[in-house]
Amino acid sequence: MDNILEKNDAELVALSLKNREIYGFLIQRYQDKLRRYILRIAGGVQNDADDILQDVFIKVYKNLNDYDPKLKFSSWIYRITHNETISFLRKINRKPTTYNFEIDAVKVKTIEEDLTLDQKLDNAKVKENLLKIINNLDKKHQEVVMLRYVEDKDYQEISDILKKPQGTVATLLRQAKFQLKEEITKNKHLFS
Amino acid sequence: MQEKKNNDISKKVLDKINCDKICPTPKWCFVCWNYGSWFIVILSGLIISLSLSLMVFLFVSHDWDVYELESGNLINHIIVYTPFVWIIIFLLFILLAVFWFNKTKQGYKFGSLKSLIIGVLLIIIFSSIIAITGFSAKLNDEFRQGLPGYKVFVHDKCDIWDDPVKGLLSGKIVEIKNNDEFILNDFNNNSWQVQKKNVKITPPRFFIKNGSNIKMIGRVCEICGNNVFIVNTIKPW
Repeated sequence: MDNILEKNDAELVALSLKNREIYGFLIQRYQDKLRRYILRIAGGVQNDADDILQDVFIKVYKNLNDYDPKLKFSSWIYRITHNETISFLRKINRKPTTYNFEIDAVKVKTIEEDLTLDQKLDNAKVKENLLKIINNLDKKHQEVVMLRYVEDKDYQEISDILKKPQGTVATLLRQAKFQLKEEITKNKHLFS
Repeated sequence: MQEKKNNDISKKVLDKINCDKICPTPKWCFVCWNYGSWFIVILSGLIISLSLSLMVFLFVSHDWDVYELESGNLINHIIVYTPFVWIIIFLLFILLAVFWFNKTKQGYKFGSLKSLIIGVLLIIIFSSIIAITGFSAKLNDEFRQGLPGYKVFVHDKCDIWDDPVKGLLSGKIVEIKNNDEFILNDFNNNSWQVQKKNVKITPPRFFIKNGSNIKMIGRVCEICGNNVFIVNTIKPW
């Protein structure tokens, strides 16, 4: 059993195709991250998050043969989760207006480095103000900001999750960072 | 609590998989889907190239300068002779190609601009090949002869030059009787006796000979007998 836990995702996929019980290990590996991701992109669906998650894992299982090992498994499963959540919201006729960021999940250090800011975004009040600014971004920018600074994904992974070319992802992130930096500079008093 | 919930999800999913006997979809289905998507993209690309080459052929081969003899109204002439069917097919297949390109596994990796430039270049290359090899002209003729309704929707120069009453006639020279007279079969297979006196031939180096396809401006000579056409301008088809 320990041996199985050491296997990487691609190996677990191959083993799950031979023995469906092994699929349980993949579920356990991803369920927390994906539940959080669902709650972030579809705020206010706490009660439905587990149903969506269950549908995601069933869909992933059905499509295991479609998994391309050239792609990171996490990107692939995040993409399916993203699509399933959006389909669910569409089904209940609701559009996510903003994403649900928890400030503790935001990688503030990465934002500081990426934005090359003079000031540190380290106290609770400052973080809260940062969150407000992120929440004011439009949806397409929030989407990439969340994947970059909350889910800690790199450009390639974001491109694979959202099925957008890497160039587009880079442009969206650049625009988002520009807007963030501008807002932070404009409201310096809130960040000191 | 959370751990218990997690185990529940894992158990629930595995139970559902076992109960509903859910199996992973076979790999060949995904392979076929991906190849199928690419096939539709390539096929659409070919149809786009074909329609573009036919539009260019119909536009270039058209004699825009004779609109005065044909209808007298340039706007009306443009509306009648614009190949709307090919334009619609061209646009529809662009949409289809874009849609299926995005459905392929690899499609999203190409940027929009890169895909657009590559797509446009490939279409220009293919449509040029189709036009240069004469395939578009041949295809247009085949459609006119074999495809019911094609002539109703796509008008080409055959329609312009098939109106002897308005002084426009075309066909194949079947017999040269003398310097001033030859026999021509129009494209509806009617035989015409053509009289040419003081005729203007454009280009001047074009020699009329048996078997040549030509188009002519002139008038029907009703008092000269049946199907007699007095020509003043001859052009190669």
